[in-house]
Amino acid sequence: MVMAGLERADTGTVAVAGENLSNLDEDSLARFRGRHIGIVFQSFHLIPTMTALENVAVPLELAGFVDPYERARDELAAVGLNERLDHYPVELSGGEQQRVAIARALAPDPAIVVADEPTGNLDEDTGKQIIDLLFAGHIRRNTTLVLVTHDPALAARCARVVRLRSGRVDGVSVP
Amino acid sequence: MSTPKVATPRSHWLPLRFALRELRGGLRGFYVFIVCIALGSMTIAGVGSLAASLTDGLAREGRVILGGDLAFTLIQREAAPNERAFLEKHGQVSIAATMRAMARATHGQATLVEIKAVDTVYPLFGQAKLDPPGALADALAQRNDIFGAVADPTLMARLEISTGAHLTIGNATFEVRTALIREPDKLAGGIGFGPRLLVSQDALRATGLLQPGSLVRWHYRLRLPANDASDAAAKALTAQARAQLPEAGWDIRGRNNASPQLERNVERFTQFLTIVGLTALLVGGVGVGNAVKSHLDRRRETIATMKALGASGRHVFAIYLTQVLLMAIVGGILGVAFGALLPFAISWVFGAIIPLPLVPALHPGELLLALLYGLMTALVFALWPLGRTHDVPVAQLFRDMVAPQPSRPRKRYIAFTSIAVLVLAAFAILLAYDRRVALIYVATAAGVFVLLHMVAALMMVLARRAPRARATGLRMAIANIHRPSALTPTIVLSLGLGITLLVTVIEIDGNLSRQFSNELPAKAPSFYFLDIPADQSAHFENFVRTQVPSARLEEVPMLRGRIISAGGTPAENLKPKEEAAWVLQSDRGLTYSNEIPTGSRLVEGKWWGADYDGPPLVSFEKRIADGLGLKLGDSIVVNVLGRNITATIANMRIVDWESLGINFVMVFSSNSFRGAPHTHLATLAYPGGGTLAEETTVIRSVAASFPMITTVRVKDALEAVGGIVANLVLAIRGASAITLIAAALVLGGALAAGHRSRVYDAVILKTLGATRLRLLTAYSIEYLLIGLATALFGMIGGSLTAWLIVAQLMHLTFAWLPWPGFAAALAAVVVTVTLGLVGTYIALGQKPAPILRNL
Repeated sequence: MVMAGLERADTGTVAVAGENLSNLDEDSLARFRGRHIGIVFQSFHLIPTMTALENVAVPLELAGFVDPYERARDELAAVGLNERLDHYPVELSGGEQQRVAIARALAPDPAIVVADEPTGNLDEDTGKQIIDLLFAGHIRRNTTLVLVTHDPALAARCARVVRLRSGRVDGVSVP
Repeated sequence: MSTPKVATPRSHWLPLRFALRELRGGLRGFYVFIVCIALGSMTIAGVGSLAASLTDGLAREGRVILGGDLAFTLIQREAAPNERAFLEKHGQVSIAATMRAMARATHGQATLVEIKAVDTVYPLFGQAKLDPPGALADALAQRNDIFGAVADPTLMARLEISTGAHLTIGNATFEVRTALIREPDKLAGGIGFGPRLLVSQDALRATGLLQPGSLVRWHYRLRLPANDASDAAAKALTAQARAQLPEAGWDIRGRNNASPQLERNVERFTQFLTIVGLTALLVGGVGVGNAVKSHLDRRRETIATMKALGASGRHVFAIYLTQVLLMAIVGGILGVAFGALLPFAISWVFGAIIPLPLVPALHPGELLLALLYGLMTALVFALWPLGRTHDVPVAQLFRDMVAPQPSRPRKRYIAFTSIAVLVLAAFAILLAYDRRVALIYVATAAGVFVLLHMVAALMMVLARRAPRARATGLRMAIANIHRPSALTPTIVLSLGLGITLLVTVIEIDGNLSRQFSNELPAKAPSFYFLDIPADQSAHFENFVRTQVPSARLEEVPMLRGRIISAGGTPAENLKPKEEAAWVLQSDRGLTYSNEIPTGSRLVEGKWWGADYDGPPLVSFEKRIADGLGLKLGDSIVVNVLGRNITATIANMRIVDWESLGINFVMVFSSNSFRGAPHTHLATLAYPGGGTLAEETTVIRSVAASFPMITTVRVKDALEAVGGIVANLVLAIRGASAITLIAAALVLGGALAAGHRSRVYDAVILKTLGATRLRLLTAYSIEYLLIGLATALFGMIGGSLTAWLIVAQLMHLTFAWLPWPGFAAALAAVVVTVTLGLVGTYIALGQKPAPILRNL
């Protein structure tokens, strides 16, 4: 939350992608998120009144990209949804919705992708496909993937594991 | 993926694009919003368009209404030869004389008529419509000593006669030859107390009613040979007449002010109805606020998502503001479209029967104004909840995060809301015909809003602090009143506004009806007798005292005069206050006396002595003098019978107008009009009021014995005014009904929004074992408690507002009528409780499983 500029640190400073977040006001933090952070939620949080294509285009439009729809189309194709561009969230399965969310998070080429329990609302098989997509995107674009999970097996796929207990860092390990 | 990132400045159209995308899901949740704005805009657009169509009609028909390019009116005297020569030099002149008189049918029945004696060229403009049709000159011609007359059908109905019947007026006999269906210049005459009778001028002279001092008005209408649309020739002649014949004392009117009183009344009434329209918008505004709030509540997740994707708070605000404005435009345009049709609809349905020159047309200015009012109202009520979207926390999208949001928006949004409120108030005040009334309205509306918020807050505090009730139903009801997102503020505001308005209208309605009903004030006279020749005054007095010995007869001398100047300022340059303007509008009744008149109280200065014989003095009515800016010692010039008389204000009186006795604004010292011919005015009052039989006997016997004297039955006169008031009240009721519909809609919308959480509550409580009866009891108590407290406030607020309007603005006595108001408030509460319970009943019928699965 702090890393994504959604909450402020009580003490100290937070620097992400070369920006000192403590010095940014609310609107600058929003712009910072748009440029540098992509978020994937457990409950997908797609905008129900927009199609898959429009959902992916939103961060691009907000960031002022000149070709948001072309880019969004490419991103959706990359997650295997080029047949579902004009579908509304309610017409998509849980796995498809999460794929749209991944495409949306990756579309502006953020420096960091934060994924908060991305498989929490999905069955095992679909969850595995989603994680593969996330890791593929992370490797292909060379972005930092911050994965929040209760699943030790999933955590083991990451380069670095920070264990939190009651809000405190309980240990850092490299699997 | 390889496409380079090219950042450009964000498009200004982005909020619109996002707003439209969001609205693709349909307008669900916005229906109440749209209808609320539409109703208010419709009322304002309708009233504005109707008034503009009427004003256009008056302007277009100005010459017809006036009867000429210019009209010169003299009171109690005909134009002197030099005045007549002046008029005839400049164009074709048509002369008409108007006066009141008694018309007696051969079977003895008598009634008051408004005579208009016309010449052979009447009317110069327009046409009189007769039934059966024929030439007017033929209908009025004298045949075998009997004059012809054209009568208003009402007169024939009142005297139970038909065409061919004979009437006596004064010393002359008339044959009613045809009925008068349309009189082209009727509107210029103002309200008549009797039906019209058209006769020839020879006939009027033959009646013998034209005595020195009789209340007759001579109208000289002029058709100018070259008066174009600019009216320049008429204006030039007006100036010339004033300069060359300053002593004439005539009232000169052009076609642009053919009926100034009617135009003023149209404007005043338009303002009143606009205020009712604004009230509809304000009440609807509460619905707008509710709709926006619940729309944004439903969109919280979307808003948070957008913020997570890089939208700033400002951006989110812009998107939803655009959405609200779009909805307001949809509502406004709908309302304006219906409002624009009003003049057409009225002209189509009532065109044949309304006596006004309505020219239905589209009035873009009025429509734009109504649309602006709609948009401004939407902004006033939506900016606050919109401002709160700025700080919708993104954190709520994450698991287990409880992210409370501050209840107030940021300062900048509070400032935006305040600016919108001020602009709306300024709009309402600056565009008003009478800014004082508008200011009072704005202050009252603001006061009612603030008070209702306080009532709601107080109820919630009291509910929170109330001791825990033992009965579960009561405990749940009290908890529902104060819990977060309780319905209390919304219900109190919408129901409270509705009841306040309902009680206001009912109280005003009741007071006006009481004022003009047949139940006269205890001391009010039954009759006025006009034009009693001075030499017959004693004879008349004896006659009446013999006929009705128990009744009280009061008699005073009476003349008519126009105020030419006051305090050294010519009347046309005076800037009177609203309540005093009428004194300058036309000629006024004047009297003289060396004693303080009954019904008057001296409040300033001293009364002149019984044998005063110095320069003319005048006693002025205090409130009118204040309205004209006059003080003791100022001089006043009145033109009586073509002579200017200057008098000094010696004292001021307060007059009890509502006694309906003989009251004059100006009472002169007895020596002021020495030698001037005049008549007497008398009133007759029965102890405890007269019966119809007693009054009919007096009308008949006075008409038979004193054909020159005009008898005005007070009840008939009040009925005539009451009839007009009844029409006005009907229009007010119609416009208020729209406001009440808005209030009901808002209430329904609020209850429907609450219904969603009720379904949730009901399901959970039923799962935990609550029976339907228990839940229904709890909700009944909740609605009843809120409803009763609100009704109490509505009663108090409505009564106070009605008092303010009746006593302070209309200057009438206010009598509180508790029962009708109470009944209306109670009915409103019953409706609320029933509505609430219907919603609850539906909620209680929900099966738990589908809802629990989606929780």
